[in-house]
Amino acid sequence: MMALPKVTEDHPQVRELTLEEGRALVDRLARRHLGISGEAFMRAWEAGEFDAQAERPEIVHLAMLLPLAR
Amino acid sequence: MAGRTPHEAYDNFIRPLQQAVSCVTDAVLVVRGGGYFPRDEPYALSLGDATAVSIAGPRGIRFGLSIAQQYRLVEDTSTLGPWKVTTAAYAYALLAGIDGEEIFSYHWHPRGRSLITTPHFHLGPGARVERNDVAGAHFPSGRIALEEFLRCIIRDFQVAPERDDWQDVLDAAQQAFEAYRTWPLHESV
Repeated sequence: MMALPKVTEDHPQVRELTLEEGRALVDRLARRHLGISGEAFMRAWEAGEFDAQAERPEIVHLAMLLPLAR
Repeated sequence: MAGRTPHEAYDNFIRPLQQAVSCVTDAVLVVRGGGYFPRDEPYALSLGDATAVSIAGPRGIRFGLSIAQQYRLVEDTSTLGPWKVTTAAYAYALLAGIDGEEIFSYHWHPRGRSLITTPHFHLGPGARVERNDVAGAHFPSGRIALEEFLRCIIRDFQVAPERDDWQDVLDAAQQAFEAYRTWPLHESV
């Protein structure tokens, strides 16, 4: 296996979010793309209210990030 | 990616992934702090804290790059572990600008709300496909490594690499990924 190049200051490490920051991120994206809060999106998503749009790119992305808010 | 501890497995997973995205952007992966504690719920990561980040294409063109992934920490009974990070879902997309239409994307969301639970590929409105059936199709793809997607956008869409050693970085990251993956490359599920 090839050795991985070292991560340098030019290629910084990941950014870690707290649960509150994760919720804020989901909330911001939900408001921007859907005009609803992150909490409202989570409830609607779990209730299947977005099933017909589940392949919409911004909804796929948002749903993918839900674990950041849990 | 495997490790002797959950934290080591997580580190062996996230470090090459961050290096891979550094081939096309200085944006960093956003993850949940403590995303190395085993739990039933998957963890999520995103490139940047918006839906997409802006990346450079040819002749001054800007593309949007959207990357989101879910992963799980699991105990691995093989000799690779005993802890392993396994990909649980992903969505990779190239957009016609940071707020532009999607050109193409790879999705795998086996536990999502979509009826399509196998890995697939979309051509988006940014691909200017006229046929509605093609534009709405879920083309079976097999599971795609992030490194493959990044290599494709550099090679075929002339996304400008951010580092000279991008080929080595993507090759090394993908080799590390493939050494620990439990599914065959381009497996049709």
